[in-house]
Amino acid sequence: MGEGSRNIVIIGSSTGGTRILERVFSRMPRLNGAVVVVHQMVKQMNPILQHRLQARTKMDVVMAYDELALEHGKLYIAPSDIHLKIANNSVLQLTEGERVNRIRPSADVAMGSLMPGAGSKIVGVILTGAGEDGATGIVHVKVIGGLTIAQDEKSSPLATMPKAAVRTGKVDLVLDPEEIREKLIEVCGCLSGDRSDGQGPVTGNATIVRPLHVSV
Amino acid sequence: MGARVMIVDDEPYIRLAVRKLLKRRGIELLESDCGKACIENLRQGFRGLILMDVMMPGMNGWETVRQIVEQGLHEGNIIFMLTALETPGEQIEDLQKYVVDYITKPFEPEVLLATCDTYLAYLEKMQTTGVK
Repeated sequence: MGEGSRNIVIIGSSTGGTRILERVFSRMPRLNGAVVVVHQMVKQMNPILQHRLQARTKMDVVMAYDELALEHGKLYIAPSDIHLKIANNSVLQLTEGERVNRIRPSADVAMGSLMPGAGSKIVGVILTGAGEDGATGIVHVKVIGGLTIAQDEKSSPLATMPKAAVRTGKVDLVLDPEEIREKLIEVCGCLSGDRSDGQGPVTGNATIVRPLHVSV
Repeated sequence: MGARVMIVDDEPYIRLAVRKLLKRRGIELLESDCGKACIENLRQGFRGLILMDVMMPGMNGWETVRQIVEQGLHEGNIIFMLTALETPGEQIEDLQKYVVDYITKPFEPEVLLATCDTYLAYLEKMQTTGVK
């Protein structure tokens, strides 16, 4: 996998996003792409979100750290209170800096760091939340030739953020969480033989305290 | 203070419903009928799970969360909203990270119980492992 040739999905998420992310990644096979989740949460929730998502997907769910090289089949969670960028579409960078849209990490910052990647697929997704974070990032993703998705209003606990993205006129698809999962699989594909494996209940490597089995 | 769950809601019937529900599970509930009472209970030492209504007279749920954060009373607590509605005109982007989850009203009893069970287990784990 050469520099800049990775398939990359960046997902921005905030209020109500934990359950929505669980729906998106429920039975998600290992995507042929690297997924980066930028979700607003306090630090103490970082390992909890990691556990909750790992309980639902075959992707390897890891907390992002500085200088970590992106790999397909892995889901990276942006840690709290620090911005996340992707250098050369290949290496995670955690950077201090002013809050953007009153928050840190910001989906605008993460998406804005992406570059056009020859032969690679770039996807930007904006899920539930307040404010407008991710709207500028979505425009950037579109400009560099990526696919842009916003969560639909009906399934969003707080739809201000996805609606702001839609208002830019640069959102390709408005989907519910399950449709987002299917679209990511369709666009990125799965690592060899993983689609069928992904259909059954899955468990990951992380210790699961107590998965929440409730519908929204 | 023995209670591990606090509800902040101005509607007495909601508080009663939650109290009855949690009592069956043997979970003691602390009740606050407004944001101010919530803050006072936190000052008195409550630490645990906070179920916060959004639409309340006086300080609404988000304003209460802001007060909690500004006074440093969020440490050791998990807050989730009993609805995730945004209060019109209020900027809450910076507060979102302090609200870990939501339940929409009217809630299904089993959903509320499952959510309480989940987060109480997380709280216990955080306390025993020192996860910050």
